[in-house]
Amino acid sequence: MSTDHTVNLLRALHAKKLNRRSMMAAAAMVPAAGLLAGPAVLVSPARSARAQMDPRTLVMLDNIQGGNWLYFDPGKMYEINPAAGFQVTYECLYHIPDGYEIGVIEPLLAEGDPEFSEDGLTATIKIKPGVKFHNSGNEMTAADWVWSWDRLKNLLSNPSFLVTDFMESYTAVDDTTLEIKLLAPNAALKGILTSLPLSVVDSKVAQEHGGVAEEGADQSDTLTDWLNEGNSIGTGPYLLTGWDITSEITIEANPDYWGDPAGFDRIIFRNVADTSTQLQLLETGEADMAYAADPDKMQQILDNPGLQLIEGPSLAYEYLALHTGEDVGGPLAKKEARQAIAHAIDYQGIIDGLMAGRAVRPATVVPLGLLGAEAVAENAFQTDLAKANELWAASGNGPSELTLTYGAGQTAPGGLNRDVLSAKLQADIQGIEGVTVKLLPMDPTQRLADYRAAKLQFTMSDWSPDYADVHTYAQPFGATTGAAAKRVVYSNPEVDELLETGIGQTDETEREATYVQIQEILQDDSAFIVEFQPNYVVPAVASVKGAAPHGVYIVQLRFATREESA
Amino acid sequence: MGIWAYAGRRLLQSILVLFLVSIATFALAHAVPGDPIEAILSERAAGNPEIRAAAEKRYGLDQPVPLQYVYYMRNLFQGDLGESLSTRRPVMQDLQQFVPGTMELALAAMIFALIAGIPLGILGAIFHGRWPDHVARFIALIGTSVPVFWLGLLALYVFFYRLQWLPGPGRLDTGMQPAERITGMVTVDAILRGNWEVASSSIQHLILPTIVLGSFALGIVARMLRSSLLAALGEDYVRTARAKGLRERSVVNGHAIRNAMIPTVTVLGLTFAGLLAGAVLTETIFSWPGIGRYSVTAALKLDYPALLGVTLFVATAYIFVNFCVDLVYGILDPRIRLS
Repeated sequence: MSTDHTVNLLRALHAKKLNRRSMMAAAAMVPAAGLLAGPAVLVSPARSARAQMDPRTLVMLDNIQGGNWLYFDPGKMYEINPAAGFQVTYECLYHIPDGYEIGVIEPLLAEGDPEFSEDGLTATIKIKPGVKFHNSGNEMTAADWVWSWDRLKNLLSNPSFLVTDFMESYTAVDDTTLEIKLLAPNAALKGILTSLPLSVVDSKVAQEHGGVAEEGADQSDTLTDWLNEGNSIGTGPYLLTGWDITSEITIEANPDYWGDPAGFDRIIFRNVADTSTQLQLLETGEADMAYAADPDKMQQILDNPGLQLIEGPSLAYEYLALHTGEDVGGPLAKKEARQAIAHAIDYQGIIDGLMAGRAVRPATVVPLGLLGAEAVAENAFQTDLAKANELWAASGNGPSELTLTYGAGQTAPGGLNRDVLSAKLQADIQGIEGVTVKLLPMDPTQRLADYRAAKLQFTMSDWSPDYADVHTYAQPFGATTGAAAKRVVYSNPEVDELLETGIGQTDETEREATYVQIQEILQDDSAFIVEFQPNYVVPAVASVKGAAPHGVYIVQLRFATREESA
Repeated sequence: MGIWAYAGRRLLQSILVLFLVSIATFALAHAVPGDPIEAILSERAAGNPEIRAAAEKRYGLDQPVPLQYVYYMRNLFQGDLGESLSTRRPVMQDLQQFVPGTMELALAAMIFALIAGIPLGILGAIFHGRWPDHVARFIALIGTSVPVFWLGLLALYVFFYRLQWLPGPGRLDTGMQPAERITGMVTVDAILRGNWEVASSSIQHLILPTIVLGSFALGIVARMLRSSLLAALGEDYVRTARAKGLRERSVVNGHAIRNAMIPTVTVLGLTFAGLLAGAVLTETIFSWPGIGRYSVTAALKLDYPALLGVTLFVATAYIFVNFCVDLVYGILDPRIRLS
């Protein structure tokens, strides 16, 4: 009947006979149709859960639309969250297979360790023969590596520094031999080569789809657009088959993978913004893993026997930057004042009370797990208010007001809200007699700009690594020209000299001694105070096995599978 | 004045309004302190002059602001709204993806608000001061006063998590592919393509966000219609109609409601335009890809190309909806002429 009515209305419209009464009737039909459709789609209780029904599919939840998933392109990828899928789609020469041992780096597409020339400026790496790209079946050669790195360099994108800062040139000696000329001897080379932007791509297919590796690639390369249509050109155990940042991103098993076969037929990264909803989806079995790293939710997960926490040490941390210049730092220009603040902070209170115990604290800007960090851990500043008062008095500053800035509404690594953390720090530091702390939440972009311009007296920030090596922390925080050091005008010629020595040392024991010395100086100078180094925590259903934490990329899915009996 | 002459005049006015909106938004976006390049470059890249220069060139930030505006307008006339700094995709592509999501949700919410709000408003007025009126006013009060984020979380908790009657966030079940795009509205496309499995899933996913988003509009419709109808029922022409011996139903339906609908339609138009401008909280809670979340992400990253694109869309939506409201006035009351 309603269909007849609709037809009549359309006929009337066509014959231009529609009057106001008909128009009102037509308008009334729209809600009526909705009302009728309602009961027709009401679902039966206990809806089916797709992911639960297909044990060969892993569903992982993330706030994909939140701005983290920009690319699946090695030339541009610089965000952490997509790395879980990226590192099983594209592959590097080396990798960290076990996140519980951050310092252990093993060959992936390389055959053994790099061989260095006597002057340490040339590294020769044999690459695994017979490896094929999952999209085309083309065999990977050293020429593909050269093309991939050339493109990375010339795209002038965020990760381009991985080539430009360390390598002078690189050539394909033959199909399976790569020769890298370094700008300076670099003991961190293996670590650098685990960085995902340095993955290899199928250069032939890339060029067919707009890939450009020559100078000017930043203007002319269009490969990213094609990759973002759901294509991948790597060698990994999975290949990208769907890319829609508004709903889900899908990777599927590569049946011709050169190594152990993929543990799942399909991995779906689904867009779910809210962390509470992510946990609900885990608890109802509609998803298997989530990036819901809210410390307040950890107990809820642990109390559920159907869930587990995949947890391991991260290489990220939250720190305070204290300006060392008189003009901006004011009272903080005095080393004793900075040390006083370091003694005033209740680190254990932050870790136990705010981070649910899921964090540790390194003594300096080098996180635990990396070279030399354990050796100086015992010397870390301890909470001691009497000592803090003594040091503040020794600084000669007298009563002072400090302005502590932070990005409003932002969370620190590990999911801790900075509004909460700043209040705790304010209370702790004001324990020093005569010191008041004014909290100044800022627009995050503006704060970052001001921090980079060395305009902030005292600010909260975080650091996450580009690769797993001590130098990627010691250099930016310790060197006069370092990215972080410049922001607080920190400079210590002794540290500069030691850094130059350390990066060239190939003997592990000697190198450790150098970096221990660097860390001791950095701690004494106290331009940066690390509050905590969180664990990476990934909630998952209990049936998922083999997924390991990853200090740089949060979680490693290479060996993930599902327990059959679960 | 004929409808076409009226539409033409409104169109010219609209172009002027959009032009002024573009200038104001562009000026405001650039007046906000902060450098968008800082937001998109990493720690190391920000310190590399070559990379920084390349990024500034890519987004046109190497030019003086007035020249940036001229280039922006030139590209706008070619359908190019620039590249978003937060998604790194063309803004036009983003809008094509996010606007249909918002449109679908806003339309569903309005339909829900009309279906539930109009009867509530009428009941409240007819049974003024009696229990149906109290119930209607209570529901309307709840609709307008309960915070959307709370209602959304509660709805998800009860109907998805506890009862498992309805699906959770998103527009489709996990792993389900939408029907081939026609409008970009997943439900509409699935119905037009005859893909009933996808249609069923998308309608189920639509129910909770529709109720949550529509509850506010429902409250407004019910309250406005009730008060307008109450006023109309006290007018002389209604008294005359009753004196002529017309049945109460005819008095209400034939005389009072049409007059009472005029202020209601005005409010409905503005409410609908407001829904089109984005429902950030509903979109966030239900992981719904719409321009509300898109614009908030853009604002946080000083993504002025995206902000300009969204602003122009929202301004256009307001202008179009107001135009439609003006047309509806004429239908409801022939005495109102287009002038």
